[in-house]
Amino acid sequence: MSDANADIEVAKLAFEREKHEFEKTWKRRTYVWTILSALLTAGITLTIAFFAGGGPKPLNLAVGPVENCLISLKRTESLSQLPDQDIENLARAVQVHVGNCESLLETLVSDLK
Amino acid sequence: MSLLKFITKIAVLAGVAGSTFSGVFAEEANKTALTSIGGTATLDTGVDPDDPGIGGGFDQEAFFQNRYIPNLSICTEQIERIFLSWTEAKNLFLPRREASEDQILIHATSDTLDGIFELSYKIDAERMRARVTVFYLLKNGAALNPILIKPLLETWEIADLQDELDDALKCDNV
Repeated sequence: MSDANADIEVAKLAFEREKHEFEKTWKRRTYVWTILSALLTAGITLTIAFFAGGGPKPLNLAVGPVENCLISLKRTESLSQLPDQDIENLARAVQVHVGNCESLLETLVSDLK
Repeated sequence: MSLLKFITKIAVLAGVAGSTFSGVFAEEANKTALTSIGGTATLDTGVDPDDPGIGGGFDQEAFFQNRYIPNLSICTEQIERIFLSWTEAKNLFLPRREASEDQILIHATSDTLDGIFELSYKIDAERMRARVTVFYLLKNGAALNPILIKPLLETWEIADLQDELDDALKCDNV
């Protein structure tokens, strides 16, 4: 009878040990998954931040107005080369050029800051 | 004076005053176009931001054309050649002449002129459209009053130049 009891006790102990091992394994897996999931979340967050806001700010300008400003600058230079050009007309031409470019350049500067 | 004549006179005076008024403030506009021809290879390119509309006014409407050119291609050389031969024939000198593969900017003037001609050609391969425009600007950089364009068109034979630029835009006959 006592042998039978002893066998049962051994079996119980073995079961307890297995149970403990099983729990330990799952606990370790849970830790690993928690760490991996945290790393994955951090990676995704950083990637989104890099592409959305981390890179250079997009310029709020179209190419057309910039080209027009450049042509206006070149035109002002051409006007300055006219043989009978005078200060009054040239000053007005510069004023027209400033009107063509000033707000655009201000936008550009503020976008680049 | 009959009522009809009186109304007609008032309308004419209002028109002239309107043109003069807009002419005074035309200084704020970039430039006045003498002729402009646009070409497009597709019908859904949207509005061309470089289209000056009818520029000098309804009287000169024929100088502003938009064409459907199915095989639109880069005609920089042809456009430049046509404009340069016109400037040569008219004894104009060129304060600026620059051309890249898809763009031309030429300024031309003479000792007797009170301003400069500006030739602009641009081809946008992506949107499949091109435009050649001849502008005129006063010495002070202001746009010319639209009511003064007609004499310029005649004196400088802009209609002939327009015909040649029209062909050149299609790379034709040049």
